Amino acid sequence: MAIDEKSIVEAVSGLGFKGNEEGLIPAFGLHLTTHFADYYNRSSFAVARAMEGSGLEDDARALLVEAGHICAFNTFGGIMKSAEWDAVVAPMIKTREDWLHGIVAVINAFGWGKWHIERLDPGVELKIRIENSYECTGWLRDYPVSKFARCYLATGGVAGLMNLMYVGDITTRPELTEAYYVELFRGGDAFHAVETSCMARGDAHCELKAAKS
Amino acid sequence: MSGPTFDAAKAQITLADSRLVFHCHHYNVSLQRTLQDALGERAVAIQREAACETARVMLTRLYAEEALTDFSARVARASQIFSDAGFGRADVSAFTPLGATLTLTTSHYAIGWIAKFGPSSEPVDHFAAGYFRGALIAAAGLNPERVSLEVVQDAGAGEGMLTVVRYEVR
Repeated sequence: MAIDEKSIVEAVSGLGFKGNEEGLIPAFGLHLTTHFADYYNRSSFAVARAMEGSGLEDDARALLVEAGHICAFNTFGGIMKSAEWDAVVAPMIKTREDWLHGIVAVINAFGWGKWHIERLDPGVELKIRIENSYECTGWLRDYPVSKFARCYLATGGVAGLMNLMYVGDITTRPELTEAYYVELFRGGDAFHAVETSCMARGDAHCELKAAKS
Repeated sequence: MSGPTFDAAKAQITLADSRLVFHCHHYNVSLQRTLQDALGERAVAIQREAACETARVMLTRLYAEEALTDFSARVARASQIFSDAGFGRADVSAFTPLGATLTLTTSHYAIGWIAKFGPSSEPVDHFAAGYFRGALIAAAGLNPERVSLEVVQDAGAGEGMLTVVRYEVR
């Protein structure tokens, strides 16, 4: 494989993203934040637990995973179209699948925990293992072992990777419009992800699998 | 002053032992709308409280690490972290241990919300409102129950360019 993950992580983490004179971080065609994991976790888990108390655990999960889909579409998609991608990752790309290995390397500079591609069957299935997921470490610090998987953002993210690559085609640099989002994530061909192992449930690590349903 | 540190082996960024994660405005405002769609007004309180606790805990550790004892220096440090992290620009000149007024001249959440959904009928920057409540509590060493907030004006709600939040200390 041509992708040098260590070099990508070093390059991205070394970009030194920091607010400008307006306190904003414009990058990858987005406004980035270096946000607090505790904020996401406390907000998301409070809502999830409130809905689970009403027997709406599947609805809670679907809502929070959908936010992850939106993240993947815009953030991963924006990165893979960016000048930074062209400078750091694109020169290493030899195959179509290298796009996925490249974006996973970039993700590993975002503070989300360590993502690793366990299995990639192009156009069919993606299995990602995550060590030190920020969602799970937050859950386990504040709550007992969970009945449910808790990596909502990551679940949406893993499905989003496959939708960007194999339902759409991010390599052609499409406009990331609302209509394109609907085409990729709401059509009958869309990939959906499930979290088959989760540290919050007591598993050793988190594992997510995206496939067409 | 210490900044965020990146641990490549754990793929983890921390500041004063609090984990930081990169996210963009699409996710931030979409998640916020999701939470509010699910729980309505209760979600607003949840987000403000989450921001307050997150800031209070992180800043309390940071002030100890950096031996910051002066109230104004502490509030200025909180404001610098807020801006460096991309949340906008905050004027904290009207902060005192007995009460405060926050003025945001730019707001990540307001800009992101309007870009994605258009102007809101309600305030949108719950993160900033809660974060600076936590900053006031940590900087002055107050019991959290003594500090309440009122959003006077919110840029995301089409109420002008500024977001203004008033904090009362009982």
